[in-house]
Amino acid sequence: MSDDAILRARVDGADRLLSANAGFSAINERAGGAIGAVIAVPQWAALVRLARRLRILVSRAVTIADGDIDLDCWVTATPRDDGIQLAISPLRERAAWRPATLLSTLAPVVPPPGAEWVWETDGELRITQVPPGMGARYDFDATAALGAPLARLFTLEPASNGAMPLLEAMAERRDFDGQAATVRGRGVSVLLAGTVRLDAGGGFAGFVGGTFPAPVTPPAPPPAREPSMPASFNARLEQVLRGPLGRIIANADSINGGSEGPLDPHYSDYAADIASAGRHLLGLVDDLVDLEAIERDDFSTEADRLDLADIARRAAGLLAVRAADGGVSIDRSDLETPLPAIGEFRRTLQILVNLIGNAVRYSPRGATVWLRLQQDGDRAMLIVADQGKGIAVEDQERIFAKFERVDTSEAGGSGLGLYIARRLARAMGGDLTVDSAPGMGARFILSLPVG
Amino acid sequence: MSAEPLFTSPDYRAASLAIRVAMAERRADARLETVAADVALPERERLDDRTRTAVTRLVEVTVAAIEQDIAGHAARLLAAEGGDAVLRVLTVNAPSTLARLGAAGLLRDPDLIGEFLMQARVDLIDEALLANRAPGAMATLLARLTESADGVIRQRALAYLVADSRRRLPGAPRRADLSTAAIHRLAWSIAAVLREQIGIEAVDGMIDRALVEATERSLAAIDDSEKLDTLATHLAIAIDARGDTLPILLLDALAEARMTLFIAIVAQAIAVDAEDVRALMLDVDSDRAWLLLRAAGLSRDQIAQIGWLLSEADAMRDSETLADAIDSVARIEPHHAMQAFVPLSLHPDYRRAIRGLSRSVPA
Repeated sequence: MSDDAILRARVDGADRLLSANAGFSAINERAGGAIGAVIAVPQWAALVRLARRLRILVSRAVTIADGDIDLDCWVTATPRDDGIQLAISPLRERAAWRPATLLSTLAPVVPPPGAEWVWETDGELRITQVPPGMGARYDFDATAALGAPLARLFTLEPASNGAMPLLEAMAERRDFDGQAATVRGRGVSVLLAGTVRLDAGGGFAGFVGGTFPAPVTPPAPPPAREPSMPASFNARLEQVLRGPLGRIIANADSINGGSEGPLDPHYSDYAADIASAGRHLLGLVDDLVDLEAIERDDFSTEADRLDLADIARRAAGLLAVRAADGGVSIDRSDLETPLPAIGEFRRTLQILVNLIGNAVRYSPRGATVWLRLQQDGDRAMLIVADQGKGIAVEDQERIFAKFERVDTSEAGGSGLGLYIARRLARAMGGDLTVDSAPGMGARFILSLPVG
Repeated sequence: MSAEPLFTSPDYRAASLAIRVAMAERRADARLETVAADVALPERERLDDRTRTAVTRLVEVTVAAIEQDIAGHAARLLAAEGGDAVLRVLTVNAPSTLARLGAAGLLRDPDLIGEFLMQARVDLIDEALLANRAPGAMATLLARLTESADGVIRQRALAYLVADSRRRLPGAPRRADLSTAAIHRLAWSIAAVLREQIGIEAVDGMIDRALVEATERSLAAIDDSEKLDTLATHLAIAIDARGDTLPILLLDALAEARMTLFIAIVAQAIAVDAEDVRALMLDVDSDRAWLLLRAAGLSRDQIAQIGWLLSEADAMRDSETLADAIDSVARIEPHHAMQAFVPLSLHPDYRRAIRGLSRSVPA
């Protein structure tokens, strides 16, 4: 950290501010302080008072609220002859709520689940824990390994692209998995995963790691990730957001479900709102990841033989509960006869879930959504027709644009669904079109090459 | 007399109803007493939630581990002869004796629970010392000691390091490191609860013998020399820190979050039992911890530095009270401070007896 980044100040024997650099003054003045007055940030003032009374250097991690952000900093107060010198190293800023990662300083750090055996290191990657029994199994001296560098235990191996997940995770203070390694001694190939441990200041304080048997080549990709996902912004966004959101949703659901004990109904309703907002965000994350994938130049889809009728039946099945909740029926009577087409199964299902989901959402209670199959020359077509309020002609192109929605007054949806659906349809050599008039409902037509 | 069966006779039903009501009343009274005691507890005496959870967890894990040892071995002994019902009780996967021990008041033993509390607090302080470390700070004490030129220090440092690592093994539930006497009390109580669960009618001489043998076997396996505080004491004796090295070593031990070693080093420096030192260092209600450090010959600033680290790491302490006390403690000469702890060098059983008497002063 450069010297300029450190906030400095001096106070006299009565804890009044004598001088301060610009960074310190900025925060202190926003909190209502000034030269000649006591320090206005209470946590800093407390440490100054303690340093004066104890007459020793005292330091601790402090989080202060400055405007909309929380500032984690490491504060050192040093007694001098004429007062106290204060140095504050900002460690990081964050929005004024606590991200899950900070919890790891308070809650015990859990080793990666399912590991064959676990180990632990400190911030300098020196081994602090290793199960005694593993030494005999892998032919190394478990006792001598304690305090030794992690490299004494494992030889880390780069992935084919040269990446070293463990080292990257250390630099970025996050969890990692899929680090290939061999156990020294017997030379057994393993995969390592680790949960990061942070100190009070949010700095790296080591890993609680797990050792997994290495897969037979080729190495299997980590389960929760998309294959061939680029290591780019949205993919990282997915990694960063999916875990915390999943936890928020799961916790909110369990509060709402009353599994932790009875609760005031208001609060359980709030919990339900939190869970549903969380799901909405999770949907948005999915969409953004898809968006990035389909906008890449080398995006391609599989050309499999499909039965459009079968996929439509599955999509309708997935939405049956939501339709029943909304009092909407889905008419699947036309889906008995197979209609062969060429495309990618998963992507076609994704398009249809989106189309039928929209139709259900915009249908009034008691309405019907019709699913119809047609073959027109070399085109296999599925039509999703609803009895909603319809879409004006001038809006019909707009709804396929990014971040646009069928009905802007409606809450929910990222505005990416139809954009993604059309891009996917076109990538499979087909198209997605709409025909509608206000008050007449809408018909979305997915066409794919006939199989 | 009518021919009506006893259990359905109106008299019997009325009597049984009255008994049930009386029992419920008693339970409600007991609950009310517990609530009243809880509300009346001064805030200062109340365990904070983290400590309470840590103590409860330690008790649960320890009781479950002893129970598994005894029940498992008794089941093996009875496998040939015992009936299915007996084996079902003994080999059930979930530990089952804790609630009964609590209901019988066995967990109200202040010495036993005090020991659990002390160990849980040492664990929590170690955790907090680790979390409070300055960014970039390094801890090298044990690494240094395990590479010491002195073979005895090297070997004892290694033994301590291994035991301390076992205590902190991630993902593994932590079992308390109890004294032989405490485990004896717990183990026999657990065996008695197991006997009760098997059912009085089913218990015969064979089952009693199996439970006794299994309990004796797990008690015989206890080795006090493997206890973490014993190993820490051995290491402290080998180091034998004096003069200027003492405060450095104490600060290093705290920087490395080795509270057990810190306690052992203080105990060695002033020739007092480590258990007593631990009780004094964890006593947040008085200045005795600081006085003890003064007795060990530490200067005002050294006591302040150690006091600061401990006050920051111990949720039950407040740095402001350290600041209130530090100057008056520093004014006391070390040998005067030591006099306050002379009684601690008396025989521990003798002191326990004196304490016991003073708890029950005759009216």
